Amino acid sequence: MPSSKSNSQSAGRIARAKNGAIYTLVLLLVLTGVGAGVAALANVGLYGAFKASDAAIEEDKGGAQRALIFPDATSFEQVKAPDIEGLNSVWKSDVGDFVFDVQSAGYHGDVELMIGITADGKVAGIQIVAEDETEGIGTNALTDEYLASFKDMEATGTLTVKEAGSGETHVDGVSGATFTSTAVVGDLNIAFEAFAEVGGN
Amino acid sequence: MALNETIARAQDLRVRSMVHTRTFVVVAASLPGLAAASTLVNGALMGAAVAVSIVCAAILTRLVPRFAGRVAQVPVALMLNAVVAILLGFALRAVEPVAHQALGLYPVLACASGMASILVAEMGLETAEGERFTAVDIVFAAVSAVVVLAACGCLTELLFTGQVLGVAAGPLANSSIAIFGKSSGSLLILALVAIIVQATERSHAGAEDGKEGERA
Repeated sequence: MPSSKSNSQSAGRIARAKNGAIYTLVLLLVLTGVGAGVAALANVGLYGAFKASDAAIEEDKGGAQRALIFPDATSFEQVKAPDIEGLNSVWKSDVGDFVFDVQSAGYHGDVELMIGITADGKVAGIQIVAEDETEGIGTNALTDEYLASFKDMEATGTLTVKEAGSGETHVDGVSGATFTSTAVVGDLNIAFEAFAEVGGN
Repeated sequence: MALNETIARAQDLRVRSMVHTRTFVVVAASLPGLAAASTLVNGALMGAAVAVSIVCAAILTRLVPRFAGRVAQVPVALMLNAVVAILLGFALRAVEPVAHQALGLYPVLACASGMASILVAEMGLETAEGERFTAVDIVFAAVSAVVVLAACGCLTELLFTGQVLGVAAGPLANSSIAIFGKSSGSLLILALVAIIVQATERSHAGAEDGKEGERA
């Protein structure tokens, strides 16, 4: 009998302690630290998996854009990219068309484009991958209309928005968006050079 | 004061009779996910996240009172459930990164909703051990949430893209069934599943009453 009374007394003390402010504060602090530690450890432990995930997302996004340039292609495979500054990757479709991921300096950072060139050496289409140009000014050189103006152009030589020199071909830029127009043309030149090196033309 | 406490207790019991049900858990947990269940894969992943969050929340509501006082139970449970939601987000990002990016914040919202439904249903009032959800209740609610979200995603994908898993929509897209592919249709699917869950709850409660009557 005395032992059951002392058990109930100790249970009551424990219950009162659990409801106390200091116990509650310490418990919350400990659990906050434990929770943050677990989340941080998981983040560190999964770092490699997250990198692979980001690569998979980039690949999925790129795949969708490649399909827009060449909707009839059933598959693309990545080929070894020539060592050209500004060339990120080269993909080849099942029918021999190429897609070049290229970037050049624009007004605010690089303008990264995906440029498709058919097997017979013509520009098939251009998709915007990344850009940070001024809205309403630089972006005027990234409109569908301006990018479509390069469709079916021969993928040879060197393009320029300035006065054409020897071996250069003049193309129109967009008034007020010189830097961005120059970046677009620069991307096309990189793609043309890469196309020549991977066996085109 | 005593009269007010009695009235308050009666009101709490009435509210409790509505929320301490599998149906409430399924409906409350599934609602945020309906908006994001645009494909079968998205719906199934959202459903899986909600199911895991329901099970984890049910386990935590039983463990937390053992070491936390009455004042600390709710914040401690919320904190631990938040850690579970974060870990579920990490797992989704590692396993299905494309779907994770497409779903954005919705998996975390769905997990929070699943956990909140269990907290509302089980915590806050004095609960005798026999009144808590059983393991069968929890698993049933979790599976029902998966079914709701996967079905919504499947029908939305079928009616908007024309096919899912090789099955073509055919004439269905032009029939009245096409409403199930819209947001309002998702609520109809949720309502249908809720009716089924509620029916199993009533039959389960009826069976329990019958057994008690026999013992008496």
